[in-house]
Amino acid sequence: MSAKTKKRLSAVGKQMILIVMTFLMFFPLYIVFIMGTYYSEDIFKGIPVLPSDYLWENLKMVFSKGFVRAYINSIAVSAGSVVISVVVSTMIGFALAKYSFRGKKLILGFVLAVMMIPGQISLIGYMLEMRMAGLNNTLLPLIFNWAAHPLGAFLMVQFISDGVPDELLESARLDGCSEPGLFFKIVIPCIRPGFVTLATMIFLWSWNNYVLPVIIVNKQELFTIPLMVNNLSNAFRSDYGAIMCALSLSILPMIVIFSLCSKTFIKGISAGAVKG
Amino acid sequence: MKKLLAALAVAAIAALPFGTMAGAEEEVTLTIWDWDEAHLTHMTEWYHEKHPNVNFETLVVATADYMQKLQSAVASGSGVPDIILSEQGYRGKSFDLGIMEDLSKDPYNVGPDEMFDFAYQLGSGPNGELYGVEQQICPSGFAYRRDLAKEYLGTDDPAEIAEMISDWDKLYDVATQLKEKSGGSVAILPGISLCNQILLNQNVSDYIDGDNIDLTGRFTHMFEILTKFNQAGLLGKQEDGSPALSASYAAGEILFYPCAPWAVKWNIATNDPDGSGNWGLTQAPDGGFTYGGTSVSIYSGSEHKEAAWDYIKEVYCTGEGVEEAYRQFGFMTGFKAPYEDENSYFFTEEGQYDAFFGGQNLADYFINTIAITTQGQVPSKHEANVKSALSNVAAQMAAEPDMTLEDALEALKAEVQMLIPTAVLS
Repeated sequence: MSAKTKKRLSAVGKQMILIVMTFLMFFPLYIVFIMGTYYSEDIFKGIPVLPSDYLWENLKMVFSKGFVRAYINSIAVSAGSVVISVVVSTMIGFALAKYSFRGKKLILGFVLAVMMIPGQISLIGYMLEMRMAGLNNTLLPLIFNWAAHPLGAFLMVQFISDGVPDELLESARLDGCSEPGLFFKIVIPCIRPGFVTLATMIFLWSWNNYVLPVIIVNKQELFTIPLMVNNLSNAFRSDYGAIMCALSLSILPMIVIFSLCSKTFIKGISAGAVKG
Repeated sequence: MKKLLAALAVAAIAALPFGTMAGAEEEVTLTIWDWDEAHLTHMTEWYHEKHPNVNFETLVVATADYMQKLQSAVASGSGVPDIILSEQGYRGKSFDLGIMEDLSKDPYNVGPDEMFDFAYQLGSGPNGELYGVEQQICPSGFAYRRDLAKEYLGTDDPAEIAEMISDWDKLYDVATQLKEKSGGSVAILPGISLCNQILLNQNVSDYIDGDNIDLTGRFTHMFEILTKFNQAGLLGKQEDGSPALSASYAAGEILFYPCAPWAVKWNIATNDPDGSGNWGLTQAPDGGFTYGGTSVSIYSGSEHKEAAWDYIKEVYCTGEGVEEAYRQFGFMTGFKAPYEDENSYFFTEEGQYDAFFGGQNLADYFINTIAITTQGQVPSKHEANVKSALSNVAAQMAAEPDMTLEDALEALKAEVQMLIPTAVLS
């Protein structure tokens, strides 16, 4: 067997493995889409591989339960969360990574310590805080929750430490750049992969967030997608067909966002993996 | 004279049991959290039409999230609804929060004679308080498929079947024959988790006194029956809440299902949409038992208690809303008054699902045959924990069919001790 044939066979083998892995990864997703076309009780009569004829009914059910409003709410909350979280985290990261000031280590230690505390513990306190701020019955508590995000701050400290050379900042200062100018014109472009990675993660977490909206939201018109989907079940019956249909619709933005940002996202994830 | 009238008017206002006059023309907004959106929306709109000064802020909260959301609202001191629902599974914990009005006291004064025994017991606290009325009653019998009954029992007549299975020994014999005749393809009852619920709610007694919990006295008989059926492999594999259970109604894999009034629609008709006319309702062995159920309570911190009570009375107790809820949703009140007239609409008019059950008058059967033999377990926090422990033991029994009565009792004690470390078990 020639080297060329060996190489070709090896490539074919790799492709086959990738195809099988892709199939394994996408099959459950495919099944979710297909289940969305079935009448709930028919789903469990066998593995639903082919589409059924109940899609229209499921769609009607999903949209009758306020899907559009929930979608808009989720997009508003997720987009708001991304903006506030990424901006605040990056500013914290810049300050802690590139400035020297008293108490810096203490603050960094505090950020790390807060990361260790499960979010649920602070829920009641957060509820009280939002009530005192008069923000009950708005979507803002779902957004502000991401403003002080310790993991985001920690990630940004790492990204900025590794990705923004001090010399670059010094040169900019010598050229007359202001400190905010440094942040927006030098730091952010330098850490673009980290920036996008954090934005993508916050968007995903916020989009899928369930516990906080369950506790905070007291108005039907403020429901986000996870709450709305959960309300397709009641005490007596779970409409799995409609649930799968709603889930299929709700994961589309995730797929689009991840597809668009996947290169940068992977770059961001692997950044810092190898120390130079 | 004018002064006298004015003084009388002031005295009358002062004598009102509540601080506000919400029942009059004052604008009031009641908040309600409920998981049954259709009922909630319809009944609040219906009530608002009759009482335009009463508005509603409603929120649909999934059953599984209700308790957590309620606890968070209580802990944060804001956002607790005026009208609180408690599902049977966590009713004891919900009552234990200490945030509900005692409806047995002034100004509500609901007496035990006004309600069915089981309904009053289910809404009671450990010291005789009444924390809630039933959203809809839950006395239960067995629903059965008529085609299977004819094939394996030789009859589909509810009275004859009730006689055939009048106690658990007779049911065991019928189950054994059924297994032989069907070759194991049809089981007498669904999985052990449901059988557990039936037996749990049949043999009620006051077995909890503070931290002293008499598990042996309360559950020996229950585990005797449960282990006997389990060891003989007579129960199905369809556990409570599973998709397999939902699918089994139409598939004809089970002969008897526990069936309360709410289950007629949500369990039977929903899961077997083509089964109209093929279902029947009969008594369970040893009489009725409660199955599910939800209580409706008033938040003690509510600023609109009078309006909340007016709404509850109208819709869940004895008002015109009871008839509306029955006609629209088949909900049946836990109060006796609407059933006392034998010409009551409950008995004279065809119910929504009577035809589905082969023309049986379901309301009549539920009230006059099943409810009168049904008792309810007074809920408490410890009782809710015992129920959780029982679910875990039932799951163990499903996995290990050889478990004996002693094994089951020991497992239960271990589970309860873990959930209630301060408990003194016997």
